[in-house]
Amino acid sequence: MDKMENLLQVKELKTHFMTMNGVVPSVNGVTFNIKKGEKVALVGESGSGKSVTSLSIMGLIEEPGKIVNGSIIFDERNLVDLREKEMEKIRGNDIAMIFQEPLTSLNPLFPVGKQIRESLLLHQKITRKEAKQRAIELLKKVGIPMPEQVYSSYPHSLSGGMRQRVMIAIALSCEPKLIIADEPTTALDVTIQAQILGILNELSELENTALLIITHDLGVVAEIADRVMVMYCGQIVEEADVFSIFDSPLHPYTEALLKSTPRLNGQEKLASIEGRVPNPLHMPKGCTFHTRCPYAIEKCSSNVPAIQEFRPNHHVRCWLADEEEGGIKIG
Amino acid sequence: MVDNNEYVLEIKGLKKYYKVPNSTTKAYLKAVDGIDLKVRTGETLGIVGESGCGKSTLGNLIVKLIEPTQGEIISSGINLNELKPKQLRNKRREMQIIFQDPYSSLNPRMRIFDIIAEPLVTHKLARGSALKERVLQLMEVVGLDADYLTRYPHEFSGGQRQRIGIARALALNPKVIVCDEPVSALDVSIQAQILNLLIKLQKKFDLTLIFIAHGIQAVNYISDRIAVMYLGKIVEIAGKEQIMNHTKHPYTELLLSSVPISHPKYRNEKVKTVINRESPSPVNLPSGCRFHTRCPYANEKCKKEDPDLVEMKDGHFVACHYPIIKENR
Repeated sequence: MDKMENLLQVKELKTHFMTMNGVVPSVNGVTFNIKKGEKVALVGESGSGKSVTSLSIMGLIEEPGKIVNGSIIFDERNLVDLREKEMEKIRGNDIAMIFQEPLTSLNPLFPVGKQIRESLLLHQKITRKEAKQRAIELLKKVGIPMPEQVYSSYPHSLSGGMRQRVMIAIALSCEPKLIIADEPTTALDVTIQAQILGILNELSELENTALLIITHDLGVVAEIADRVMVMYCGQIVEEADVFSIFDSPLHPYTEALLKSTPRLNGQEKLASIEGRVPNPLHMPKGCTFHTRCPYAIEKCSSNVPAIQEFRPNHHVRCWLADEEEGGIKIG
Repeated sequence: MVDNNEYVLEIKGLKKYYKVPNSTTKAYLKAVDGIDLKVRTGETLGIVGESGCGKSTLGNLIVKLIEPTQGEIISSGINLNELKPKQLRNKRREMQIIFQDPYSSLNPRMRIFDIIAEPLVTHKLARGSALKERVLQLMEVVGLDADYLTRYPHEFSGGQRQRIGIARALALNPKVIVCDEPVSALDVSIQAQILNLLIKLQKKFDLTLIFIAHGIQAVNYISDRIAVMYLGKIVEIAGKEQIMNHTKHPYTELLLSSVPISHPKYRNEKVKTVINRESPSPVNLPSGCRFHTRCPYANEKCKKEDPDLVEMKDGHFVACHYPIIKENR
C-alpha cells in the first residue's frame, strides 16, 4: 500500500565528481522516497551534497560529475537510464525545479510572460493565445499584482520576490507531480521569504504536488515540511517526520544544528558545532561526523554506521543510537 | 563630560544620497536619509532591516569609508568632519569594520600574516619580531592555529576567513567595530561559532559593537539594543526586550512575524501579517510615512506627514503616528 503511493524512489544513489585531485563523493549512497503530495525537506550545510542530489534527480549532472551507482525511480521509470531526449520530457512536465537565484535562471532577454508561455507551448498542445491566457492566470495564482503588466516585463525590472514568483509560475505551468525547490528563499528578504513559503505551501496543498525543498534553514523546515532528511557529507544521517526531528532528534548532528540556530524566544547561549565539514577528498574514516561529534566513541572513528530504523519511521545513521534505550545518551 | 563617557559615537542628521545616473530629472537614491543615533560605550547595537534599507551604507559612513552628503558623526566628543586627514587617520584606529563576504574582503595574494599585520604596518605600530608576536597573539585570540601564518586565504573555509577578518579588525585595539552582516554568508553551525566569538571578544576588550544584519534572530542574540531601519531611516530603536516584547512600529511587527517559526508546533498558532506589497524603491520614496504603502494600519495622516522618531518610554523611540499599544492587538 505504502509502496503504491511512492512518487519518487531514490535508491543507493552515488554521484561522484572526478576532479584532478581525486574523486569527490558528493552524494554517497542516498536512499529515500517521496510520496504523492508530500512535502519533504532535505537539510544540510554547504557541501553536504543536497543540491547534487536534486540535480541528479533532474538529470542535470555535468562533467566531471557522474551518477556511478543507484537508481531514481519516478513513476515506475528509472531516470538514471533515460536518454536526454526522454529526460527533457520529464523535466518541466513531471518534475519542475526552482532555484535559489531567480535572476540567473530567467532569460534576461525575454519578457517573463514569454518565458512562461514558452514552457507551456513546449509541453502542452495548446495555441499561443491559450498559452498567454494560461500564463496570466499562473501569474495571478502566485500572487503577482497586475499580471497583464508583469507578463510583458523583463526580469531585471522585477524585484527578487517577484522573480521568484515568476519561477514558481513557470514550475507550476505544466502541473508537475513533483517540484524541487533548491534554497528558494535564501536570496530573499525575510518578509518576502514568508510570502514565498506561504505560496509554495498553499499551491502544493491545492494541487497535491509533492515538494522536495532543499534548505540549510531549519526555520524553513519548521514552516513547510511534513518529513525531514538531514544530510551530512553525502549521506542521509537522519530521517523522520518533522515533529520527531524537532522534538527528539537522534543524530548528534541534527541535535547540534537545532541548538546552533538562533531563535527569537532567546536561548542563553548558542551551541556551536566545533570544527568544520571535512574535505571531501579526505573523508574521515568511520562515521563522517565523528571528528566534530561531542559524543563520539572509539568505534565511531573506525566503523561506518549503517542507517537503521530506530523508532517506527525514524531512521538514523549513528553508532550511539543503538547503545541506549530511548536514543542517544546525551550528556 | 559625562556625555563623552556614555556615548562612544553620536550621529546627527546623517544623510547619504547617490545621484541616479542617466536620469533626466534630478533623481537621488536616498540610501541614508536623516539618521540620529547615539551609541553607548561598550554596548552591542544591532541594526536590522531588509536589503536596500541603508544599513550597510550607515556602517560604511560610520567608519568613514564613504563621505556623508550631510550630517555629523561625533566620536568621543570629536566631530569627524572637522578632522584634518592626518588626524582622521589616527582616529580611524578606533573604528574598524568586518565585512559580510570573507571571500572578497581578503586579498587573495596576501598571506595571513600580511593580512593581519597590514594595519599595524600602515600605522607604524610594530615591526620585526614584535609584529610577528602581535599577529600570533591576534590569531590565538580569534581561534586560528599558528601554523596558518604563511597560508593564503583560499586555503580557508568561510568561518576561518571571517576569523582572519576579525583578527585584522582587532589589530589596532579599536573601540568600535562595525560588523556588516558578518555571519550571513556562513553555514548555520559556523554562524554560531562567529557570534559566540564576537561576544567573547567584546567582553574581553570592552568593545562597542555595531552589528548590522538582515536576520533579526542573529541580531536579537547578540545585541543589547536594536535599531530597525526602513528605507534610509530608523523607525524604531529600543532595548532588545522592548523591541521583542513591546513592539511599537508596524514594520518591526511585520519583520518579527516574518521570521520562520522555530518549531512546527507553531504552524497554526502563528499570526501571519501577510503584506503582499514589497518595499518601494529608495529612489522614489512614498510621501508621508515611508512605510504607509505596506502598513496595515495606515490612514490619511500617514500618507501626508512623515512621523519623527520620538521617545515613547525610557529609551524606546518610534517613528509612527499610531504606534502599536499591546492591549489593542
